[in-house]
Amino acid sequence: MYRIINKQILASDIKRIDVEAPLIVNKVLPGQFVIVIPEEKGSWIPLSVIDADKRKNTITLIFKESGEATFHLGMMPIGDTIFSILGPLGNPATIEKYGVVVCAASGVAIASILPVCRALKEAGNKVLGVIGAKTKREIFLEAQMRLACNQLFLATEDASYARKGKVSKVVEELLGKEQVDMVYAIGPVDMMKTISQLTKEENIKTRIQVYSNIHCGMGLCGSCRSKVEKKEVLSCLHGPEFDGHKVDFDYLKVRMNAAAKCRQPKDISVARALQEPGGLVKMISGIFKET
Amino acid sequence: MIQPAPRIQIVKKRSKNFQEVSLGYSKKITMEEARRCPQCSEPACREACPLGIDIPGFIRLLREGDALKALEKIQLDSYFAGVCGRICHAPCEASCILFKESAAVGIKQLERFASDHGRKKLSLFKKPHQAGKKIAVIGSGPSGLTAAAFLLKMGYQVTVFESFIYPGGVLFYGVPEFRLPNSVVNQDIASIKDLGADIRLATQFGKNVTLEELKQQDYRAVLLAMGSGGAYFFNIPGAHFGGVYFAEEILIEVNVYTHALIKRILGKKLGQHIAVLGAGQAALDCARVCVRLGKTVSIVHHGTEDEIGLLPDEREFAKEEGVRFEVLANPLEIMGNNDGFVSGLKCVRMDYADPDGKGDWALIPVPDSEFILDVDTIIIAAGHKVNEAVSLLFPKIKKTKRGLLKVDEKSQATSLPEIFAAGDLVEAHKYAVEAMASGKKAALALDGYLKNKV
Repeated sequence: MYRIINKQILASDIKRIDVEAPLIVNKVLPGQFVIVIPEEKGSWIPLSVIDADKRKNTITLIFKESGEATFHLGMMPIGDTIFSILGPLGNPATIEKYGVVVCAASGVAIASILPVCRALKEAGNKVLGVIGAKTKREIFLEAQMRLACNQLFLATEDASYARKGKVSKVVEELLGKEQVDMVYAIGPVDMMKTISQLTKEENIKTRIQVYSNIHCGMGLCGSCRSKVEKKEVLSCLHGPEFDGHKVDFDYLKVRMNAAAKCRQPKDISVARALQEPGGLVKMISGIFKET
Repeated sequence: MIQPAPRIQIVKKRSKNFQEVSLGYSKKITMEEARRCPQCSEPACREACPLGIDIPGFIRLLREGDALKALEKIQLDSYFAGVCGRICHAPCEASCILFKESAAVGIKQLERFASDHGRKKLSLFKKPHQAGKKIAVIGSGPSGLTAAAFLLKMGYQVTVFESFIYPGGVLFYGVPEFRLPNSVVNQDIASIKDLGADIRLATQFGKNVTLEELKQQDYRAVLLAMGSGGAYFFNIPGAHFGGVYFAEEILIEVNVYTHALIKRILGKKLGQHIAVLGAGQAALDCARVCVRLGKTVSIVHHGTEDEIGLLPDEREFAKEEGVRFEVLANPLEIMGNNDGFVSGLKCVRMDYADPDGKGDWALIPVPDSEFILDVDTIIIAAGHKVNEAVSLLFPKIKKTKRGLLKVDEKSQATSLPEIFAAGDLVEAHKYAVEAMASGKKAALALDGYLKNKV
């Protein structure tokens, strides 16, 4: 039922797969996510749905190989079957006609902003996209973003591609130049916090998406709790989209930090070395150099 | 005369593996114990059983060791013989007439024997003729599946929608392997599937399947049995720190992962010194899971020791395995370090006192007795909230003050037409058996409703 029918390596560690999922494809809306369980009795991975092709019955998922589970998913070849996919989960993004919208994302979150950009443009907004990453190698989906946005701004932190700087800096400049009606931001906590503070001063609507350690996806385990308006909410049940001006970012930062540390051990160096030519030799010689 | 104790795994072995602790009666002890039943003409045990199982009936069959016929007798009233033989709180034993004289008959263990040994020989049921109206049951927990089984028996076509990947609800995800193996749950569910139940996994009601679609597909009634909601956010400062988990997260992980993955993921997630806040069965289960992963665990509870857990023998097992009980200590605050992780738990001693001198003794904090427990992980097991998903699905549905669904006492119908409810949505049940009884009641009520309707 959940067969991988296409696979693509987008950037370093970032892969894209198209999976057959007839139950999900007709129901999923932009901003919703699914939980992928690659093998029976294996770990659960929450991933946002990038695209749904109703003719081919497939959904598109993009993920970064950051741990054991995502690495395993990345190793699955075309034609292999995923054990199960739960979803669509979470609430869809609020899509209305606002006017001029800035969509900002950095790092892996570029994948999550793409469906939102598409939907906002379809609703008749002028979409200004801002994407960024640490280096050029980590920028992906640039062509798709150019199609989905009216204008796209790029930034890398080490100036290896486009302009140097952080996404929040670019957004700040855009807010000064244009009459922006709404800002949509997905990314690390610091970036969402800076952008929310900027827009709060100018009283611009801000929506952010919070993916803080989602585990069961149905509102049972309380692992994805965050604080909105002094009330504890769950990303999977009440979110993942929240009003940026109401989210308690200090609380969120502690939760995200906790999630990052609890992730599974990163003991995948050997498997990764085997993938590239001459990688194993490089790794072994590296060990000898250290000793 | 005392009730014979079931065989158990020895402490040294069982505190290192996730296999079942209690191993049940042998055939010889079963037959001896079954002969102890006086076969009352008006059995109090049958009245006490929420499901109304014919207890003297199946015990009479076990006198000769006939597990198969005994199981068939039990299955007239309950399809969860294997589950109930393990985790039931056994109100039947408390009401047995031998309870006061010497010791109650070990009904729970006898039921378990019938299930374990009769199941292998159980031939396929004669599938009931299915031509009746179509009914959708939402949720495959104890109440949903029990309702489905009884509706199937009456000839209805039943489809069960389950949002997770395995059926069983709390029986699968909420009870760890060493108390109730998942293979036993699957066996019991297999006998319901044999009746003709169509269980659709990974299909969420409201998202994958909507009410309008069900109506288009000619479903006549919908029975909501989604159980209770998520973890209750214990009102304690510092609950957002890293290293604070809710019991549900730990129990789900223990049940869905392989043993190697449990050791890798949970072993890394949980620190070495763990405090479990709460006194329910979930708290006890979590503590015993942590012991099996080689951690030091203490259960922190403001009351006395005999309030912890639901079944006294489980508490004894936990004690033997090395779970510490930090009783008469009320948690005040979770302390965190600069990285945002747990560094300790501030508690205060409690004691019974009579401050007014009027004779009403109560638990109050002892002055100046605050102390800090040196722990690096906290597991909160403070119970469940009411289900929020229902009000998101049906904003107009009527609710009681506590947030539970308002249903008609007799017909189990909610305020919306053709929608019925059972289980924890209607009443906060403490025991799984009560939820099963609620499912059975709903099935009978649905039958009455659909018979009168053309």
